[in-house]
Amino acid sequence: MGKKVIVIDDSQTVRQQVGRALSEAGFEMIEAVDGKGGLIAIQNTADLAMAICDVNMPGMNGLEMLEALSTSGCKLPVLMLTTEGQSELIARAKKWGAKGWIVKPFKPEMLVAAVRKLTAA
Amino acid sequence: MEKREICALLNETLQGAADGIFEHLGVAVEYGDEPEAEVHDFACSIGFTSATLRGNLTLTAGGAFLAETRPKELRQGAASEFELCDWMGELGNQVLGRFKNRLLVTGNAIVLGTPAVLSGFQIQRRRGRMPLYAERLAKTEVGSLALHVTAEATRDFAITEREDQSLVMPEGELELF
Repeated sequence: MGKKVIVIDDSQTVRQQVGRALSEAGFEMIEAVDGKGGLIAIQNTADLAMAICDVNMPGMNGLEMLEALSTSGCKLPVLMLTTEGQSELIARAKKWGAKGWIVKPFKPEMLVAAVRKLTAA
Repeated sequence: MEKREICALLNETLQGAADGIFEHLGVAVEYGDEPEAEVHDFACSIGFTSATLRGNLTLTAGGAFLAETRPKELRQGAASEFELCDWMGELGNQVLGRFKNRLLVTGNAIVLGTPAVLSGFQIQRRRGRMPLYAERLAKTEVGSLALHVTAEATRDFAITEREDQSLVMPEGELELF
């Protein structure tokens, strides 16, 4: 089994697209459709290597989830994958411990390269 | 700014956002007029707001157009109605994301809502009651996508003299911290 990555995005299309890229690169993927579901899955999955997380989602958004993870002391690497490119939002994500940011639409090879780097440690 | 100038800005911004999306998707489109004449099966609407501008982006499209423009790696086989609806929402999200990023460099930061998507029969978008609007119709051989922005602005709405590209990270780019 490859390293396990959680993908948190309210779009099934994006989850499928990311899942295809990760499985071809040898990673295992689990999914959540919003920040609250992502937070619960992260807290209940012991062997996660990293998370890929959207920003704009209904309910708890990606930045709120990141803040909650940071507050709880969780050190899981999180890569933000979003249509947002606002430097102010990127700075907030950085402050709450995100390890990277990709502005959609994304190239699968770029995403896989980032995941390999962030799960290498 | 006057209504005419803001409409021109919205049209230019919407065109730039649509061009960027279709280029990334590798889909050749032609732009036409009269998007309101198109009858479609799917619709998506996303609201946006700032201190000086508020409105929404509405897209309508046919199923064949949506199937043709899904991300390349997902195009094999027939897509279900749920998958087409989901892609409609994500397409709207990506168009409005680019729209937002282009407005950001003019000094205008809008906050985006989440997409509301529906499917049905003979969906036609009519121009709403908001005074500002921008429209485009993107066509391929199999179908079309109508893009509509309607908005209203306060008297304080303005754009900066020079665009500040440092305010936004370009689409498709990665930054590791």
